[in-house]
Amino acid sequence: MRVNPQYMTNLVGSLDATSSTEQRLTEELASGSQVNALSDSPIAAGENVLLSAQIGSDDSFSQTASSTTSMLQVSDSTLGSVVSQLTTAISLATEANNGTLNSSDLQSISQQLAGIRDEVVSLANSTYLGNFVFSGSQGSTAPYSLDTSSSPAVATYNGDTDVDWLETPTGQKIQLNVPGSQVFSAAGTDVLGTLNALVADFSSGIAAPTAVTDTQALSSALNYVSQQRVVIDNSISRLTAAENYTQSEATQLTAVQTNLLQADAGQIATQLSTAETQQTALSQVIATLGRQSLFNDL
Amino acid sequence: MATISTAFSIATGALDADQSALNIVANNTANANTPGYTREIPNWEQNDSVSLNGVSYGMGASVTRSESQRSLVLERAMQQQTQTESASSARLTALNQMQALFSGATSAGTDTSTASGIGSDLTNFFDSLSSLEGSPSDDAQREQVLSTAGTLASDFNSAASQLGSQQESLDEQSASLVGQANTLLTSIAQLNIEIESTSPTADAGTLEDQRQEDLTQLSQLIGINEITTENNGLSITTPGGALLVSGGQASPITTGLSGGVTHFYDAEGNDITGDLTAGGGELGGILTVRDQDIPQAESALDTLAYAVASTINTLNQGGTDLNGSPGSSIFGLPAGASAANPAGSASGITVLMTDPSEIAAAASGQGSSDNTNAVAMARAGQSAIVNGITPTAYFSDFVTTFGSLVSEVSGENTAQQAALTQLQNQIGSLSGVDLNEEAAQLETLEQSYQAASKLFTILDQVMVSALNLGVETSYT
Repeated sequence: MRVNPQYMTNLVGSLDATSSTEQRLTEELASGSQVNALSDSPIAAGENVLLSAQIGSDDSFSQTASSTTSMLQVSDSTLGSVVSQLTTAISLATEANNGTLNSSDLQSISQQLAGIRDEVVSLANSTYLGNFVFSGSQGSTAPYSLDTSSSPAVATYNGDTDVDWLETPTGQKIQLNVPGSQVFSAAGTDVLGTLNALVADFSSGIAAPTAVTDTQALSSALNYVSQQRVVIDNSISRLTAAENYTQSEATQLTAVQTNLLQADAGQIATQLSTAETQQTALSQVIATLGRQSLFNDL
Repeated sequence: MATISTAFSIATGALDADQSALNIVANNTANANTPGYTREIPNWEQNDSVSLNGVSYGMGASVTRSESQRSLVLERAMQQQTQTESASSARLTALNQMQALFSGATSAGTDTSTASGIGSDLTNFFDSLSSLEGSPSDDAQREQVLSTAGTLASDFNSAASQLGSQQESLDEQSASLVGQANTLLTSIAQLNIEIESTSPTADAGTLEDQRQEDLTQLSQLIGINEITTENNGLSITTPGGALLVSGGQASPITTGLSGGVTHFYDAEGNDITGDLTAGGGELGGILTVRDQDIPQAESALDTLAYAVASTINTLNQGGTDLNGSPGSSIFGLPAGASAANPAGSASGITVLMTDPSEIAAAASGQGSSDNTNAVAMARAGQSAIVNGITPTAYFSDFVTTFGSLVSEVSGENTAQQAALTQLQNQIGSLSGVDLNEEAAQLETLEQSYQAASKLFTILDQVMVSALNLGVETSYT
């Protein structure tokens, strides 16, 4: 049977094919990635887009979480100081209510209570990076102003009741703030109102009749502040948990991504060596066949 | 009665025939590497015998003509396969250039420097919004939102403009291909005339070789149909039936601009662009990318750009900015773009906002520390805002679909090349010049020639003997 006498063209074609295989394998080895074009593995490329996005948002959340944790810690330590101030105020008021103190002692206690009240107002006006943390959404407005011209003095809340939430990549919502109106001047547990009342109760040197009930009211206000502090503490621990979760998720996803994209050096080296052997064999076949012609023997 | 002179005549005839056959061998050998050449073999014929007194005498042999070893069926199949293969090969080349634009999707890093980074850009933009949740009034975070928005918009622009320039360069290529095709059409028409006049009934040898070679070259350029007509003529039409060559008359394809791209017309002025696109050949492949693949990619990017920009704009407009004013648009989109027809969004998307304090992180009516609207905008990145899926998932789908297309065309092309190689082998095994075979033929003819000349010498001696009546003489 007659065969195509131009078989040399086909052999050279095969040689081109092995060269191109070698080139691709070398490229994979050099870049360390087995997906160098979308068409190498369309599924892997698409999957990689999703993985990169997830890893990116996990990393970004970790950063947001640590700066947010600092802000929550400011709120938490502020409320801690408020609690200790209020504890002192309650013991002062209790002392004043036991009926053994003279008029100047009571006035002095009234002044100490006024000092505590000023301290609590200043704590309520705490800022984090220039923003007031207890004024709801009105971060640029100091939440409390104190008017001491009347007796009892009046603390006015200038913020609003807005509560903010941080959304984690998994969609979990974490509370970021408690509005001052809910901590310091809530109806029934009005910290600043009660303190102002107590200051007025003892200011004249004679304990006013309302002093005992005001002291009791301060105790319940203290409990209430502690409860609000628990809200912040919960947020901090949930945020830390979410941060840990996203960090470990990012680590896992990075491992998945590496598996998806990374070239198996051993496998590629083997393939490369096979391709080289094939190319050498082809070159020799071409060289040998090229020498053979019946014309040489005529 | 047979005479010695008859034997002389037979020997002379044999020498002539051998020379003629040697000529053909020499010609085959000389054209062993000529593209389109089909090997020829001598057609040996026994001369008519002469009958004298009831006895029949053979009158030797002669070579009447050379015959080209050709199968028009195989050549036609090869030309058809060439059209298919050229189309997918040209398409693959163009698609490979296109996919380089999106190669960023294959790296683990967050490359945002080029158009390839649209996926990372989307992630960074929505991440900057979610960072804003933690500190909604922070200027640095707000600046970051505008900066990632700017990168996203400029990468959309750059992807769209690079797709556009690829489309233009394909358009230019298509016009130049038609120029080459027209030259071949004229050449085929000319060959038709020559073949019809010189060889209306039989294979036209080298003229046919040239015509087939022209057809093969034409098949690389455009898709064609061939119809054999009377007197060995050939008509060529596009696959859709527009006449390109009829006998000696070529009807060149003309070009004209329509809708910003080159369109193609037949001699009667009909638009045959669609016909040529589906037809095959390099032109078919290029037009498929120009009119189908690139517009599809552009449309996907437009849809994505429009959905992200319009969703974020709507959300920002619903909130309150750092100055307490109602929010405005962050992104600018081309006038006239809509969800139903987002054309031009990828190339036209801009960032209108320059002052970071205008980002409306707060819900309507809330103060500067509120992050409700920032949460809503960040959540848009996780919401089904583009054709029922999230922006990142949409881009991921686009990358997968496009990668699959390239991979599919590449697979098709490999299979078509294999089929083409097989056909070329079949044609080669019939029509290719085998030098070994020619050498063997040469050897045989040489011997035959030597034998004929020996015959001549001996006949000469016989003649001398006859003339001298059997007396040996010393004559030289």
